[in-house]
Amino acid sequence: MKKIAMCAAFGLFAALAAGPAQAGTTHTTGGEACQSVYDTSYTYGKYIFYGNGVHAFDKVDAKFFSCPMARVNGLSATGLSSAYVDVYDASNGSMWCSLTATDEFGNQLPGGSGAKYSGGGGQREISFGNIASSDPWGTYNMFCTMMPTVTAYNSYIYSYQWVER
Amino acid sequence: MNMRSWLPASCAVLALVLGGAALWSSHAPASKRLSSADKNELEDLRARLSHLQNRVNSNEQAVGTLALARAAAQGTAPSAAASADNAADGAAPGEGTEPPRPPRPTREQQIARFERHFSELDAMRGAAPDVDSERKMRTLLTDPSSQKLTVLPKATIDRVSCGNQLCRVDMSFKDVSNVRLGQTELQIQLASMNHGATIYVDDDTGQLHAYFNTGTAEFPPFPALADVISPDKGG
Repeated sequence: MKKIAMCAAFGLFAALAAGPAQAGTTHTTGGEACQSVYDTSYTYGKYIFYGNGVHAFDKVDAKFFSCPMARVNGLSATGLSSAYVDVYDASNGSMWCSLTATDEFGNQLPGGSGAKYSGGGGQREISFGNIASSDPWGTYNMFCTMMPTVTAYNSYIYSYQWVER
Repeated sequence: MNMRSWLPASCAVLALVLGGAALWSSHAPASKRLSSADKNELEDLRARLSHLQNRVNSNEQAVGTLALARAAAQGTAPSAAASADNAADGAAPGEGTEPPRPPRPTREQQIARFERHFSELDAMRGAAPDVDSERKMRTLLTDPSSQKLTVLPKATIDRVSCGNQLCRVDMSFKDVSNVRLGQTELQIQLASMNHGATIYVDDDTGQLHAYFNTGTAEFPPFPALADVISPDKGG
């Protein structure tokens, strides 16, 4: 009887020590982290502003942004289970983002999302499902395009989130 | 003293004592009155029996604790094995150390992985061309009304081949310093047909190779580094 009680106590201790199953790591980053692909010597790099995310107002030229995605799990290659970009689309649905995994040299690995459009004007959320694993030495990258505005408002990337497995 | 060797010995002693007592009682006439010496001996035997029983109980408890401790130690055995593996890989063993870092491929090895990947995609694309998709893709690449990007219009389109919802695009950049920006601009230009892509670049020659999923095709798994390392080349 004593043995059974001791085994039960030990089992309970081990279960408590192990803790709950670990969920994915969720990251949220402000749109200010996004960088314009082009500098201001190009028309694509002009009229871009930072603060409350990154935003732009241009009725002629699109703007292109590369948004870094930090990896907590270092050199793992476990992939992302989901990702979201919260935007204001002043181009009435032409704004799009894509999510990719690259190797350390910038080559694009299979399993990325392709272009996902905002689907309409105003405040929108572009969502991504499962993204396949990265290369251990590579990175994930969110790429977003603000197409020329057709309204009186700026387009914004307010923030973006991703869940690392 | 070793608990495991002691326990059977104590049990044997206990059995002898109990057996002796039983033998004595079975041979003694029921009507016989115990002498004071016999009474003393009986009390002495009872005391010894009680003492031995206590020791047996105590040692059973100790053996149980030992067994639990060993079970707990076995639960951490894989960590110890992993630490040994880490040591073999050059990482420091012990708790709290980083896991071994995966091999870091060279640029040439990555190109070899992509070449293998693209040969698999070529096979998936098949021999029957999807002329309609090829025309749409070429139109997008040369569309003068789209955003006039910076380096893409200067590139040479070496190939556009589509089939089974997969399109391969090969391009060359005379100025090799433009090829990485060209990679970005290619995705911008083909966004409307891009349902997922895989792209690699040879930075030395300025050649870019891309595969676009234009529908619901699924890319095969990316080849492992080990698949392209030949032992005779030493990796």
